[in-house]
Amino acid sequence: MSNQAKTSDTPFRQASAEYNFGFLDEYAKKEIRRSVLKAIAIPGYQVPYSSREMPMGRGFGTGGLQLTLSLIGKQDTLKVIDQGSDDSVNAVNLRSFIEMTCPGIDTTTKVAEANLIQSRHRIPEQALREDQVLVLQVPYPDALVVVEPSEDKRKIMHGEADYSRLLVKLYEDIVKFDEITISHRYPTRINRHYVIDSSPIPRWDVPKMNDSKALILLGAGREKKIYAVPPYTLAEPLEFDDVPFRVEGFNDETGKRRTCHRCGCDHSFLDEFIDARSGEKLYQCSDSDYCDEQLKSLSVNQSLEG
Amino acid sequence: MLKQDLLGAYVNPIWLADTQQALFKSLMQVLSRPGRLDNWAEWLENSPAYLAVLATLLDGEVSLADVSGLLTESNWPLLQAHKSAVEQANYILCDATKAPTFLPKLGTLSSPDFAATLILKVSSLDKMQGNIRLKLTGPGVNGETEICVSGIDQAWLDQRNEWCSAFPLGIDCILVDDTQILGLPRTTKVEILEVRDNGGLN
Repeated sequence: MSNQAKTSDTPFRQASAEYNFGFLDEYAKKEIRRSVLKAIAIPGYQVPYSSREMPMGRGFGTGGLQLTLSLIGKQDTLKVIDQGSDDSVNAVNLRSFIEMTCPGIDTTTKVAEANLIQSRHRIPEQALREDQVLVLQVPYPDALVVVEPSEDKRKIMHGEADYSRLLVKLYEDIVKFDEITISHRYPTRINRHYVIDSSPIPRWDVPKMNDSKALILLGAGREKKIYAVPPYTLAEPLEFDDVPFRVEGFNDETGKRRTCHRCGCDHSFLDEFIDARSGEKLYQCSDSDYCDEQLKSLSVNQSLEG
Repeated sequence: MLKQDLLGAYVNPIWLADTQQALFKSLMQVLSRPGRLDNWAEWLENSPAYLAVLATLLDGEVSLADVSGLLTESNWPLLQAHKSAVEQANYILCDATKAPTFLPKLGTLSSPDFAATLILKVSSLDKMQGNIRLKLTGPGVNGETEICVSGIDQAWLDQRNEWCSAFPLGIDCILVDDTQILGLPRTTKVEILEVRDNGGLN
């Protein structure tokens, strides 16, 4: 999906040539880059930065987008994911904006081909490599916001690693509902100090942050914060000794693991949807690239057998 | 090779945006993975590596203290950073052969990002050979790793460990020799394994 051919055909795209490479000016990029280094040096700490106006609403992934635009160069291959899929509306629009403003880069839908991956709400199923960087779009960066409205106080609590009130909230959930009710953006402790909001990834993806080979950067455009989970770093979801953290279960009523109706995968995060014609509940891999890869290896195996 | 900028002038590549993008990506990886050495020789065009680090990171929004006088007067307008006393500086450039005599900003408990970043010029960085052999552990290191540094006063390492003893306060260091870069963020635990006089060359 090289954008070389597409960039010159419309006046709209031509106009983009008058912008700086990557849309942001170099000063904006430098500020974001300095914040990224601080974020890496203080794992889990939310570094404030002056989130620039982007030609899309805040809350549509401008934090992740500004990170991507500050990191990307002509040699890079980018993948953009929205809820596991490369062709849902947020991913398509962000990808085409980056292609338009960064002439010369390549984009791909395959995890293995990308060295820069911007994602909304999922971490790819396929394990990432050391040479890859994952950028996550974050709507609410602060895990303490549910228990403390004042940012000044939250910053002190973070500095002191005082998460007792957050633990009380989790405890109250268990008392009331027999279950911690935070389903996504699960509070995760980085390097035994800061607790981060893990962005709206499902619990399924939280363990992938622990001891990750790839650097993970998180950007919140509206809240103007950048934070990071460096590679080979401890990332522990909050839990209690007697109530351990658990990921989403995909077992049916009989206790059998549901499988993807498309590729038959029994070990991926599944989306549930209703078939429009039959009214039947269907389950499908949320990570579309992973599903395609599984399907491909399945058909290769079948043709080898046949 | 000198490169042409947008107006057609021939300039040293470290001042150009695409070089700075490539250098930043390397810097980001080096700080994420303490112990990793990146070589910037292809980008430098005879500039010292510390100048490339500064060119990549600084602009008019931040302050710089040049403690050992490594910069020339002509570097300052290009870097755009304002000069500042070392105790208040965001970025501090030092020749590491001389022991530190100052206290850099360590940040505050609620804003540890207000801490200084130190760029230390050493004479050589190597995986095997050097005067001081260090063991590194902590975030970004898969298990543990070792690195050898020459041309650094041992007092730097003791001071650095003291400044970084109360996380999240601390300083982040970028060590440079002529062409190579090593990152030591405040989270890295640095232990001196061995001090050798002959640099490990028997």
